[in-house]
Amino acid sequence: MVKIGNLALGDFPLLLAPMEDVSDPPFRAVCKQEGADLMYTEFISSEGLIRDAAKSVQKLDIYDYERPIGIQIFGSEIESMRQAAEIAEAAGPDILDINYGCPVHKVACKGAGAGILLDIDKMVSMTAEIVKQVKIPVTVKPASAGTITASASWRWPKGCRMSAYRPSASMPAPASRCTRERPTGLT
Amino acid sequence: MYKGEADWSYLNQVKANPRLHIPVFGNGDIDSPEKALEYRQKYDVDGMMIGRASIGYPWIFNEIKHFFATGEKLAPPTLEARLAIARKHLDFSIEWKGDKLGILEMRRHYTNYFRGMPGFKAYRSRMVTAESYEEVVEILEEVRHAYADYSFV
Ligand SMILES: Cc1cc2nc3c(=O)[nH]c(=O)nc-3n(C[C@H](O)[C@H](O)[C@H](O)COP(=O)(O)O)c2cc1C
Ligand SMILES: Cc1cc2nc3c(=O)[nH]c(=O)nc-3n(C[C@H](O)[C@H](O)[C@H](O)COP(=O)(O)O)c2cc1C
Repeated sequence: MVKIGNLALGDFPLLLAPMEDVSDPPFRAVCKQEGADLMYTEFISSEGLIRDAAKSVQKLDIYDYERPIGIQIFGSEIESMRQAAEIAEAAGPDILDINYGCPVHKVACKGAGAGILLDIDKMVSMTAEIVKQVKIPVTVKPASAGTITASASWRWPKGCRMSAYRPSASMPAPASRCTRERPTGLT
Repeated sequence: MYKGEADWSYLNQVKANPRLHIPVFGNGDIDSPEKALEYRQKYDVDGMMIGRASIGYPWIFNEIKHFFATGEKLAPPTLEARLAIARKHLDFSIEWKGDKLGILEMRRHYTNYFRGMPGFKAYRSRMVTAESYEEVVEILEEVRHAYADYSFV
């Protein structure tokens, strides 16, 4: 039995990926009907959430029949992410997910999404801060499992109660597109 | 959007870390029950996350579960199942976003639900220009009749 926090997900859960412009409530409704065990929202901008931007707030819409459901947020500022986590939690999801994997240029090059993989210390602090902020389990979705292996062996903070993370290895870390230097420690 | 294959081999390394006690889910490129089974056997993961393959084909979740459980493949969704899903998606889209936006945002989904049907293009181009709910529903009805005898493989 796979569990995230107290959430029991069956023996080998199949998750619906967070997909911008795709994983909205109508799409999730059909995926739920056809067997998705855990679903995620589209990613939601932390800066948008804390400024109460309509486009971001609308993405917090979740429904009881969708449970278990995770809300995904992204951003590059730890304080904004902490506040966004608080806002997202108030919407009542079962899980809060942090996007550490979006390779889209406008996101990654501002240091959010996969961009944060260039700064593992910051990623760890951000995760710890969010885990401290919310009561629900936190999952993370990083782009590069190589990076995560590195952070897992060296620098994950003690007492972190994050319950799951998913190396989604599909996306080559786009970091090199933003900067020519790759910090040591990134594999 | 994503070029190249997802490299799942890292996942075995991640799971091999003795300090790790949390579930790890694999993600990337799962697009069939066969591939799901192959990756499940090859990599040490607690579950899988599916993205692109579910777009227009939500049946992928139950197909994979059935294949894991029985080793047999479910028959592909029938025309009726596809029509029902398209309709549900459309109805919900409108309920959630309102008439205009709901219809607009639904447009990119039709092709996927009716993938592989010969001659569907003509219906599709009408669906994606239809401006009212009634119009779309009527075209879906036409599809129901036109492809009544079509069998999916
Ligand atoms: C259209 C689209 C939008 C996506 N949006 C997000 C997103 O908002 N957040 C995220 O973490 N990943 C996003 N992804 C990545 C997917 O969650 C997933 O990791 C990726 O598509 C690989 O899985 P797949 O091969 O099963 O599609 C997106 C992918 C696609 C195709
Ligand atoms: C990437 C990674 C993430 C982890 N996340 C958590 C976590 O969220 N909660 C937790 O209790 N332990 C987590 N652990 C396990 C702890 O790091 C560690 O095993 C535990 O706190 C015991 O401390 P020790 O490493 O000194 O034995 C994680 C481990 C790794 C490698």
